Amino acid sequence: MSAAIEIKNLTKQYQVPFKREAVNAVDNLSIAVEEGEIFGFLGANGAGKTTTIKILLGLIYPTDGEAYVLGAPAGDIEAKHQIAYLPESPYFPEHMTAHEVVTFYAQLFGMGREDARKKADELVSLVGLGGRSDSNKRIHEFSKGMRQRVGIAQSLINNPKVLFYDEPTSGLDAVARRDIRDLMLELKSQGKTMFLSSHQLEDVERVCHRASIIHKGKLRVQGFVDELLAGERVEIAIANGSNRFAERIKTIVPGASVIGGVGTLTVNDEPGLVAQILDIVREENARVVSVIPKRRTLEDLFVEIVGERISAEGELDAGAVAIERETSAVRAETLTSPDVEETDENATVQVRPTANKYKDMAKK
Amino acid sequence: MKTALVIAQNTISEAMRRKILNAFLIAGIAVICLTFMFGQFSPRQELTLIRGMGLGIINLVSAFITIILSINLIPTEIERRTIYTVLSKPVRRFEFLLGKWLGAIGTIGINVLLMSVAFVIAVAIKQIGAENPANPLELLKGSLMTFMQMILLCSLSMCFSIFFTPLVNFFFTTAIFIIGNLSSFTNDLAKTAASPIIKTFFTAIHLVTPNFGNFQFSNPLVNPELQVKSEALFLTQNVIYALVYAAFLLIIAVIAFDRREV
Repeated sequence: MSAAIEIKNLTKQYQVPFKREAVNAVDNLSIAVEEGEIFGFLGANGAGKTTTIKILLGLIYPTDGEAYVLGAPAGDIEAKHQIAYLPESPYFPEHMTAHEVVTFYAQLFGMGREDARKKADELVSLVGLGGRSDSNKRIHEFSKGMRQRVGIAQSLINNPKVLFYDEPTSGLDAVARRDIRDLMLELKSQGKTMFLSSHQLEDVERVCHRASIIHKGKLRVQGFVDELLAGERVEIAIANGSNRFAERIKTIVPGASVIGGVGTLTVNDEPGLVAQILDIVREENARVVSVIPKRRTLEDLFVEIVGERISAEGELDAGAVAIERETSAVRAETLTSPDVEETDENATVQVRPTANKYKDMAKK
Repeated sequence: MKTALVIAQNTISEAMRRKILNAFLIAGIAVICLTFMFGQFSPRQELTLIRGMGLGIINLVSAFITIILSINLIPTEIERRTIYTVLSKPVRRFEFLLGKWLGAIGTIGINVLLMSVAFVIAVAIKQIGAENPANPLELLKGSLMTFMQMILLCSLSMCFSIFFTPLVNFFFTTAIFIIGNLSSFTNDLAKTAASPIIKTFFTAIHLVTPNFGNFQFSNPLVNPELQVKSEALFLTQNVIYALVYAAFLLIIAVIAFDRREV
């Protein structure tokens, strides 16, 4: 297999207006996406996802580094015959119908008017807008989900080899989200290469072969989804824990926090570790509220990587929960970064679960 | 070129639905029709007035439509992010720009044509029963000159839109349009000024700004006794001037847009 998308040491710098400062929207990023692969590209808002996609499409230009799509430099016209792009919240001329929009975009591929219309018929039906009631509607009468479907229809005109989808399920209701996810799974089964930028981590987990997380323009983690999520974990909720109990727990789970006798510990399901914790609970007359086996999710990983953002604001420090990270089990490539606390094999990383601080507070 | 035409067609269909442009068009046609209200003049004076006002209104309304349309043509595409879906297709940037320009020219042409038709009909009706009536279709030469002037204005505004925000562009384009319409005046000042600094300044102004004043064809049409030496030469010269200048501005726009980040 050859790389359908290749990014080498890509950097995009923006000048801060009225200041002699530059901000790195993308910082020395290197990624390779193989043909037929669905690649999840994750990151918080402003992490540099859309900037990277725009560079790959030739809409903006890199400050440094190289980007290739289907072996051609980013923005190459010939390569664009084989790629498709769905922007986040796409806008289409309000006075047009879905059919007219797709016909217009089909003509941009050099299709004759009649061929373009036939293609539009086919695609509008494929995305579920071919019904009598929808076909006469103008874009301004469309819901967000329907607009997104039009966006997907225009992205399939040229039967593309590579698709760039930027937040395809963002802001959609559950039904529309499921439909679009199903469509992505269908494209996956057809062997398309997809570069999927999304906040919907569940979708990425279900659709993607591989995923990467970028933060502040830098690549933090990259690997196969299964590998990134490897390692079962156990969540133990404890009540009536004394100060002595809290201190003893910290010796085996550094960073664990028991406040007011209450705490939730999330640990890897290592032989003996859970039993050891439960022994301490018994010895110190604390009470076990629940012991729940948990599968590591992409959300957990995402929080680990980008969670520093909220913790930096000094919130929830008291609620820090230790998550032992089985680094040796994760074959994924964890990339060196000055902002990430690098650990030795089997070492413990203190991670602050800050993706949903209210949920965390409620847990405590 | 086919791609540019597809974009042009789409631009026209979108622009013709813009309420503000339609409002200008309707207002223009209404004012042309209102020229019938002049009843206190002699028939000859009245006809002269209608011709003068009609051509003036077509020129003014066309200028408004052109400026408002062309200052927003590219920035709106970037702001609404429609440009992303277009430029991610096999569309070269110059094709996109050319398509938008052709679409704007098409829209302006339709507007000028509609106002001109209303004007010609108004004049033809007014001339019914008049002695030695002039051919009202002659007035279309004035409309052609207005259209060529608008092609130049549209190119200027579109070129500026690559560099400036719509608001800044509006003021720049309007200012240059006004100065350019006073080209004979700036030329006179350049020739007659005593101070070398003022002379150089007005010479530069006269040379750099497009000579929009060249397209004023209303005088011979309004006063048929005023004759230009060679009408065909006058028209041809102005058409060539507009097209060459517009092409020059478009080339600058294409070069700048090619490296512009969207």
